[in-house]
Amino acid sequence: MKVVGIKQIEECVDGGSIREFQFDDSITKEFIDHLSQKAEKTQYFGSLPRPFFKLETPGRFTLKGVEGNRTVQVKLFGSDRNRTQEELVALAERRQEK
Amino acid sequence: MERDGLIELSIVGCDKNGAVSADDIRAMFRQNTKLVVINHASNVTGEIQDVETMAEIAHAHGALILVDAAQSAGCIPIDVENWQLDLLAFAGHKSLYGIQGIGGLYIRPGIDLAPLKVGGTGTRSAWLYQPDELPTKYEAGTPNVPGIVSLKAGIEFINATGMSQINAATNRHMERFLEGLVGLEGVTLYGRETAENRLPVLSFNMKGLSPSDVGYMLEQSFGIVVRSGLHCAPLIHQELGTYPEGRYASARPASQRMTRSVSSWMQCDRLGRTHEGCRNKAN
Repeated sequence: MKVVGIKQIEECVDGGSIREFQFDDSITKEFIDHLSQKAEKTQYFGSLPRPFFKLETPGRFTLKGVEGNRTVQVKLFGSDRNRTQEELVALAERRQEK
Repeated sequence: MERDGLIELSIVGCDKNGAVSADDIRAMFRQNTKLVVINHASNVTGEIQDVETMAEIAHAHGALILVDAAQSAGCIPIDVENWQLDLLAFAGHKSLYGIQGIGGLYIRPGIDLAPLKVGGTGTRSAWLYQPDELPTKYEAGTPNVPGIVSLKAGIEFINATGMSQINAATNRHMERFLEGLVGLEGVTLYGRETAENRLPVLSFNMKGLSPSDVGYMLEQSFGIVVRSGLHCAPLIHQELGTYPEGRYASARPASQRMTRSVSSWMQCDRLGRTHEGCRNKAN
């Protein structure tokens, strides 16, 4: 999966930064599982008509989205949030290379 | 004013629907109580208060009443004279269909308030002081003409459509909202479980999801936009137990005449089972 765009959504009062990652293809269950490697906590609501998921590593990021969409919303925390973003992008794009 | 030590506040609570009890109001009066301030309808649960009775109580204790009709103006016919309301504040951008930044304050004749702002004396340009005549006394500066025009258009829309017609549509939406949510496992609804005595807003939470997650999911999956969070109303969220213990308050859908079909909402009938599909590596 390729990240084709990153849009800044909001700077939060809690110090977090919300961004939207745009992918070149639709999010699949396999892709969610792949991204969840990076998360300490994964929630996947598979009984919804369009499953909602949320990945979280406290203090670093939350990533949420809906299976079938091409975007996810990422909230980054901490002073090294740009590095966290780069790691998430790299993780997402590694999947494409396989 | 409270923080400056100019006034003291007595905060009256509400029940689980957001209803304020007349007895609780009566019990809260002190010798120095001058003003009762109450929401006509809750912007969190939609509960409509009996402000006519509240006005009687306030006046019986020698106090004035200020009704905040931000949520109700345009939804409910309001009769400031028969209800004997002293002050009534309303927002133009909710059910009056105006744009943001416009609203109004009704002041019963005979009540003399100090203007909040002065300057730009307008009708008396040569004066150095704010004119005493109404409404100029309270309308300092340049009027918000775009807001006023939008409010006028909104009111004309309501009058042309008919408030009862609008309410019939929004009540149908509410009934469907409630039909889709009441009794679902994993969904907590705040406020009445019927469309009776409420405006077309409701609040709910889903087990395992923060309100902002619910909002995101509804928008992304169903095209339903809701307001998530405290709704600028932390006190009622404290009463409902959704803040600070609940931490995230609630998700709040609302309906108005322009709201499109809520059929997609009915797909949410599966929301209540969502936690079954939840897997959590941390647990």
